[in-house]
Amino acid sequence: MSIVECKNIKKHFPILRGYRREKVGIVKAVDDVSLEIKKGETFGLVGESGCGKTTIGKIILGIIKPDSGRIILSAQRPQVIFQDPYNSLDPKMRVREILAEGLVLQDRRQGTSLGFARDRRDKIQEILDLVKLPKSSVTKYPHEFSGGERQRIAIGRAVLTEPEFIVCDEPVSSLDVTIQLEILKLLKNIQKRFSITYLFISHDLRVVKFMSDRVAVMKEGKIIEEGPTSRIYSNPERSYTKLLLSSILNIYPKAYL
Amino acid sequence: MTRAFLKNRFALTGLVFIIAIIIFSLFAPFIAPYNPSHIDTKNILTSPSKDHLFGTDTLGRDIFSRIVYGSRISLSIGFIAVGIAVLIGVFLGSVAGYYGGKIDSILMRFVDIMLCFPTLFLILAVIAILEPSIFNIMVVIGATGWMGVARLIRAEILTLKERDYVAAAKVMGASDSWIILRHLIPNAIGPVLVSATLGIGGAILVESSLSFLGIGVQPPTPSWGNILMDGKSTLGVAWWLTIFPGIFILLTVLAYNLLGEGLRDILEPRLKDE
Amino acid sequence: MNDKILEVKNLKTYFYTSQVIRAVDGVSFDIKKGEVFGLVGESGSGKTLTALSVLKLINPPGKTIDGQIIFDGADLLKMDEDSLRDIRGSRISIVFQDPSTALNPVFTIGYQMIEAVLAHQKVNRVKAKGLSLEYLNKVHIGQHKKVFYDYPHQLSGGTKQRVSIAMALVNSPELLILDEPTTALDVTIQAQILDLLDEIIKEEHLSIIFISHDFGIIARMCDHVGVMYKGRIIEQGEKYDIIKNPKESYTRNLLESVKALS
Repeated sequence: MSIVECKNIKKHFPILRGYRREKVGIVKAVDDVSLEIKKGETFGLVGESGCGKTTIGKIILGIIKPDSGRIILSAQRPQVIFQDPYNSLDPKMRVREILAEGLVLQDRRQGTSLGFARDRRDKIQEILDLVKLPKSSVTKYPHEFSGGERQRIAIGRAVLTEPEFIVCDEPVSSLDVTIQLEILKLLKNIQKRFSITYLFISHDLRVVKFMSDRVAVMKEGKIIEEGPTSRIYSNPERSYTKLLLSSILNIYPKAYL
Repeated sequence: MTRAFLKNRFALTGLVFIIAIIIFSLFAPFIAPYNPSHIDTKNILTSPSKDHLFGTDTLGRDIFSRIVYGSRISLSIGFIAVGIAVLIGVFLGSVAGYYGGKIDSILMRFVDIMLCFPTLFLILAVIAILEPSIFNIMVVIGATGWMGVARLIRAEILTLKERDYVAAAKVMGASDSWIILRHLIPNAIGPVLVSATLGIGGAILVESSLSFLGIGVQPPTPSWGNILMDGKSTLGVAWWLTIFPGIFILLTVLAYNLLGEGLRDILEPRLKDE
Repeated sequence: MNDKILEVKNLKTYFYTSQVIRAVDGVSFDIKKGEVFGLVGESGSGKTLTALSVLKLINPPGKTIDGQIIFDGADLLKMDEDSLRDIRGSRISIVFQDPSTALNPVFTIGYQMIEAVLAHQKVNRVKAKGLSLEYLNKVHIGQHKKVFYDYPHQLSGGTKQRVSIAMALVNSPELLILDEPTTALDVTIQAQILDLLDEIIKEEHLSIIFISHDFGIIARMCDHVGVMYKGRIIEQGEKYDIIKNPKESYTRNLLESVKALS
């Protein structure tokens, strides 16, 4: 059963020049992309900068509207984890407000009363335990935490509303390498516990391999290859995929490690 | 941030003086030795003395008491006028900055048009048509002073709305007003605070000017401006009618300016850290 | 005859803000001529500041308060600004992570390279231009003659980084410091730049300090490695020794993270 289905998504951005903002060309950020993410899996989307992977993520989330194509979303309300831990949390809000925002908005939408403060407090404590942050965090502000800790808060925020589907947009790219592993393990942990489906976007092939069941490789707005992780990494078919993999091997030759 | 505030000498000096003046005005009935409207024909235009600290005016009223009560008027007009300007400016600026496109263009053209009017003359004209009541003065000063605030907030919001935490809120289902009120305005308000503080000084000056010209606060209600007006004709004979209210206006506006500049120092380097 | 190009002894650079931040807290290492020395550490470990301290590029509120940096027999920390300026950019060069910091957006590449040459070599403009073109070619910039007349914003990230490297090499430095030179680049370009660096190391007989948070890249490029943590070098030695026998738990942690992802 699929959680997300994208059919022929196209998104072009005009290139505007001069003070009169004349259109001198277009950028085909997403150029006829179709994909399907099945329930419970981690779908990896990998590619270099400018290939369109982040744009597709935002389109699926509804932040950007595609020019054409259809998106069928079977999940209630997908959540997101962004790349930059220094910009993804409102610096003027305390941790408990950041975490609770999803619930508060949910209550407003459903018209349920906000009188269940204690339930909310309990839930917040539960989530803090889950992402391994101390109970005292609730009254603190984002700037009192390190990058890795802020990312944990962002993960906590995403998971609090018990979503079925989470888009992870380069969640570890801004973090130190030792912290990266911790966060990735946390994400896997959460996935198992709550049966969440992930769209995992990253430019880092090693991270994508670690997390994903299936992988799609993007280049210049198109998906050029797609398949199970093990197949893609051991038997790439397209030359671009081969180029990416050989670059990785070049940078991190196995002989040294 | 409070720590930085306490370390900044400008902000501290300004704040101390402003608090002093506010206490001054609040406790007016206890501080002023005389009723400011009490006419004493036996003591017209007496120079500063033991009985009358700042002397008396053409009707024998004690200048010191009039200045103490006048502070209430000047301070409250300054505050409320700027309050109105901030409300209008933040609202229009946020809407323009957040929605962009045609709404932004229209609103910004409106701002440009408003900025073309020489404010003081606009205020003069409006007050001349309506009556010069304190309420009208507050509203008019506010209604002609919101443009700077609008531009400031709009500029901040243009950058802030691209931040990831705004996108995250949208994903969680936040409405536009939720995002503007909860996320954007609290983060954008810094420069507005600075501008507003400096603006209070400006508003006090405008009110004083209007009162000085006779179309501001009307006698017998004392305002620093209209005490100055009385002093105009008696400048050669009674310097105290001009000097004392003048000093108070100067010091108060200076205090607000110091506070404003101090706030700017505190807020601006912090923005760099972020 | 001393075979060491750089000796850093007990370097201390502190930042004096509301608290004292011991960014570089007693760092010592030696670099032999022709060696590639890797400085690896996570964000906040002090590795970039160590490099900046070597060239005395620390600004207030930071201050290098102790230590010696012996280059060619002289202590750089005791040198006057003029002599240091002679050394910076000619005998010791640095390439940063973000090429935009090294390249001025309002001047063409050619202009900036010629300026770099003329600042340190007593040649005329024609010779300087010739040298610049030669080095732009050495870093394998396709169409280097056209790039000479381009502005930085017209170039891709990879090309800009190649230009930074060319600018760092044009005065034939003895010591080259590379601070995360490939981190901001796409993976295919990263591989190309690392290959280019391999070539340059062989051809130009340079000594190199290579700074990175990525142990994998350090392992590929370097002979000797120093692991930095919170301002100190906690472990130092031959690359293979460290990889096979990490002594500190932090080092082991670092290695495991890299291995896990491979």
